[in-house]
Amino acid sequence: MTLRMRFLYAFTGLAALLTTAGLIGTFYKTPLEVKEIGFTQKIFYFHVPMAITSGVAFAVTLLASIAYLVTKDLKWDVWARVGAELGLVFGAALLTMGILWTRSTWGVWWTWDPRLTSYLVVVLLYGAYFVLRSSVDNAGEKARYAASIGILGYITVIFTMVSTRILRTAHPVLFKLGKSGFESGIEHQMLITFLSAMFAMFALCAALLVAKVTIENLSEEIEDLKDRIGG
Amino acid sequence: MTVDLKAEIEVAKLNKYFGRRHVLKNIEFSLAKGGFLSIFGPNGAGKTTLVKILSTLEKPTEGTVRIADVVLGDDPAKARKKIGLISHSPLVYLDLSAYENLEFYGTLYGVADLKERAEYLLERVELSHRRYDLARTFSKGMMQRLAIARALMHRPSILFLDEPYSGLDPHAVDILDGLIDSIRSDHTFVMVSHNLDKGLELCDTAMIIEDGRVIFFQPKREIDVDAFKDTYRRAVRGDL
Amino acid sequence: MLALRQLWVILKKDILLELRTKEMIVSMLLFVMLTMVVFNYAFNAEKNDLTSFGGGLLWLAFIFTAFLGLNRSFVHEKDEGCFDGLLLSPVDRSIIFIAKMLGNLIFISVVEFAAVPFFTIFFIRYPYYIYWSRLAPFVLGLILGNIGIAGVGTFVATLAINTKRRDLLLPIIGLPLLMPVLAPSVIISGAMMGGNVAGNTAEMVSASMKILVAYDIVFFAAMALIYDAVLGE
Repeated sequence: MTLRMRFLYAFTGLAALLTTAGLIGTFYKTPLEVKEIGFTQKIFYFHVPMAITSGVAFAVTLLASIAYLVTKDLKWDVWARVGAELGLVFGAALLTMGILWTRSTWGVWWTWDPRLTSYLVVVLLYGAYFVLRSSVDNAGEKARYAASIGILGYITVIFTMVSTRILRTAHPVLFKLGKSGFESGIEHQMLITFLSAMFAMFALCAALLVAKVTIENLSEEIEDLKDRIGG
Repeated sequence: MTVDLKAEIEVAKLNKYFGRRHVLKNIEFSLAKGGFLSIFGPNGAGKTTLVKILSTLEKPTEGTVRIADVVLGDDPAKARKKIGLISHSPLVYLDLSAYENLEFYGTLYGVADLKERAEYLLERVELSHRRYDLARTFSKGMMQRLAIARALMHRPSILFLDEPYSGLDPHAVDILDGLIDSIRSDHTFVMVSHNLDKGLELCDTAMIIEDGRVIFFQPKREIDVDAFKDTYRRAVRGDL
Repeated sequence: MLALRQLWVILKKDILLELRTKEMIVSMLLFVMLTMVVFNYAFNAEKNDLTSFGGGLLWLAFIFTAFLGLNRSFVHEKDEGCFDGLLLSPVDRSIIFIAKMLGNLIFISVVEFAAVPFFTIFFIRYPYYIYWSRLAPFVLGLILGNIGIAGVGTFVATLAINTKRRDLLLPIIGLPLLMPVLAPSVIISGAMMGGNVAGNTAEMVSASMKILVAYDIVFFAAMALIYDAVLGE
């Protein structure tokens, strides 16, 4: 078995294991947070890791975009695109979880909570990334333009997150939406559950990344071969 | 094809792809300084693409183009100072006057004697009396004459002409002929034309491109005009 | 220096063309006024006091008007096929970009400053609720915000113009990228018009200014770095 396949099996297995561990931890092992929020606080164990993972996926896009602009090697463009796809997938899952949490906690389906809002903007931005990609035919141009948005987009993501935080601390807060309902003295079990889930998501993301990039590259090769045979 | 070391224009292994379409296939040729190359060929053969690459508006996918000692990829600005292009679109701003158009392009090219050069060219193309009129008010022929002036503002040593006679009235044709004639020596020309007679008359080397390939390239004195015309017609009809 | 002269002559040409045709500025002015009329219907301005939303409405109108203008960045070159003329010349591509950006900045700013008095009369019920002491930050905020919009907007417009969906692509990509400009700008503008009603304190205004300055600096630096690789030769 090649190194790549071994990697894929290992990481998928790891992801499955850790996810199970995380789920068990979430439902059975962690204490019920009795603050305002109660049971739904537990969403935090998977929700935050997902947010971090999608941030990592988009960071892959950022780095791959820079790599492409420097080397002009199209293989980096594949990484950039796949990173953005996965980032969107995790981001969409994130928004869904956010909506469900808001509904069950506050009764409404949506609030313009800075974090939720930032993520909506991010999802829309990377959606635009794909619209841009589909608007350019030439592979080199497509990669170049997409790369510029991959880079500027990530800067925007950081700005949005940071600036909403700054502006909120200056502004009186109406009601506190503490999704991360835990204090600094985090309990042992909560930490383990959280970390399990986080590494589960990382492993899943890594496996999906590698799998998708491999698939894309193979598709390209097939297309090339088809052209050469004249099919 | 032997490589002429004193060549003003040198094209080697030029290939151009638009996506998967192979538009120019292994083009190679050279043109000496002061030469006049006429390029003929059916529509879609790649003539305009070739001229665009030579005039730096497009980049080759593979291969090298050297113009007046500058390899195009290396220092495009330097090459551009020596290149002029007259194509079928005049490339003038309709809401600027004739003079303002020339002033604009002259400044872009860093022409030192801007005012005098513009005045001189406006006279040569017989547009002096309309120098302050907006280009919008010009007839097609007048606009093409302005385009000629625009192309010559920076005294390019190499001129690319992409079907420059199309849509010109006889008077404008005369003006263009006169101008080409006056700068004929020590300028290099590449012209794309559908006008077989005109092209052959002006050139000293003729080329036929068909389906992205050079299928004919010879100095004029070696050309048997009838055989040439025959080859050309067959290429246009798609028999080759 | 040739580069500066080239920059100036391109900018001058765009301004001259605009003065002669008045295409962009008149359209943008009409558009921003029409937007304000739409606000009237959308928010029932006759009954409801929109003063506390002053900053927000202002920038809502501005951002859409700005996109209208940005779309026309290359209109003269597009319509008259003059792009090749610019590209043929030895001018550096980045000079073309900077000239276009400065032109956009000027046009957008002119329209906005012209629209402010009308906006104030329409929604802030001038002469009440205007805090003249905050005029300087207001103007500064407008300019900083416009710099961001012109910079990022022109960059995206330059990208979009080479693609199939040009007109649509600009707002779809541009708006998300410009989101970080919106909130701070709204706060700063709101501070001068109807501000105290919405609770925009001096701290928030200064925090917002810093964010705008940071945005402009970071984005311009990033664009400068990637410009050659993305839009260069």
